[in-house]
Amino acid sequence: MSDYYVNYAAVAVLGAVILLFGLGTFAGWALLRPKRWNKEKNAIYECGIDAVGEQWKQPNVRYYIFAFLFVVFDVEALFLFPWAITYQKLGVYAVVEMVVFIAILFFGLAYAWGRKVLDWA
Amino acid sequence: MTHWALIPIQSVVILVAVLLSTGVLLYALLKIHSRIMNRVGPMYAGRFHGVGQPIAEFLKPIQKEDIVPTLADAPVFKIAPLIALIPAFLVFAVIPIAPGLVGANIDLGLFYVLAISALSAIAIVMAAYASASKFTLVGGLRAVGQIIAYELPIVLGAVTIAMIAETLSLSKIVDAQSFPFVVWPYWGPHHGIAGWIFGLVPWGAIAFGMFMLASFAEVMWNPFDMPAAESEIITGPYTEYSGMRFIFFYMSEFAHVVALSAIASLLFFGGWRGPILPPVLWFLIKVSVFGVFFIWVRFTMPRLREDQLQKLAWKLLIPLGLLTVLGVAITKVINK
Repeated sequence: MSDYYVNYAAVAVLGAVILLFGLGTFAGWALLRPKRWNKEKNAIYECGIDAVGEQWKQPNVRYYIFAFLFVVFDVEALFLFPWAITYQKLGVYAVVEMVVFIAILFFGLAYAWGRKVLDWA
Repeated sequence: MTHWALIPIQSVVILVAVLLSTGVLLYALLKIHSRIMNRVGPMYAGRFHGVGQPIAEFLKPIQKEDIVPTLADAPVFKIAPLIALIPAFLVFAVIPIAPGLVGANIDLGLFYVLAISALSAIAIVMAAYASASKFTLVGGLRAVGQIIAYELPIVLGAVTIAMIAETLSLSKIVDAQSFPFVVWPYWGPHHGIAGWIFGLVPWGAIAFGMFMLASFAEVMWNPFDMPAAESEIITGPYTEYSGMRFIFFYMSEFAHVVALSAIASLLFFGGWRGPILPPVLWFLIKVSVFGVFFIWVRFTMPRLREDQLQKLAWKLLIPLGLLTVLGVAITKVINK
């Protein structure tokens, strides 16, 4: 096997070892722990009183716009990584191109900022 | 480079090392926290100054009952702690502790670390939503908003270092650092006025500041502990958890702190490099200093409000990060 595959195999084997550790701990825990079902104890915690209403309520997600922005910038970051280690070989052209790319994103952020979506709604 | 037959042994060694390091961090946390609050902390477990306390912290919850709320989505609720634990520990596969001493020497090391540690957000959403409790839902939403906002400063700080070192391999990034490390990206001759202006800006130091601030937010420790603010929403996404599942979340959080300390010392402070002492010792010293710094900040800073921390990320750190990336690119191209 080449080094390349050995290194990734090491990651996979470590993942399997961690999974075994987790499952093994759970198995040991199952042997040691008591098991007494109780209606009150197994209810949702809500400051000691019975839970009021539905548990899966519709929350007011004030920051959902941030999720959109995050996807845009995270994809940008994905393009940044290959560029970051090769731009010196590609010359000035690659830098100018990335300046244009980041400028577009920057204006997007500035626009969102101006529309006040970055503030508490 | 490890022989393929040694990989299982090596994996077990890494697992034990990670468990030990989280135990050491927990002990340091308990003791430093106590010192800051002017008390002595654990003193009995393990006879000498409570050194056995981390083991006691593990052995107590293993005897505790497994409480799954009646209304919870049981399969998702039960599997979430494992989903948190695996990526938090898997990060350590690529962290080199000395020249050539690394679990998996992959060229995409830095990228791998960022990608794997980002998975912890999924476990928190699973825990928060499957618990079917109002506290966990609020905590989970806060946690996700925070993790995605501070993911970008971490990534941009890491890209800055990748550009300065011109590689994504963690070992090669360490090799690329000479004494002032990567605070200033360029030490050769400067060309013209623009070359000097750009060359004198400490881009690496800016990246380090962003990286550290965002690290505190990623592990959800003070001053960014809104998602688990115990005085308002109990323990946030982990409110309904008990026994080993609860401890798994805490182990993954502590492993995350150790991993970020290790990455900060590899990226910005030359990893194992240093005079006289052997490389492994230098690396452990640097990681310990960062670990103590994390604990120190955690117990001396007040909590930021939710809108304040979003503002800090989106209005300061992310624009600054984009400018840093461009600044390093221009510096290196002008002074070529």
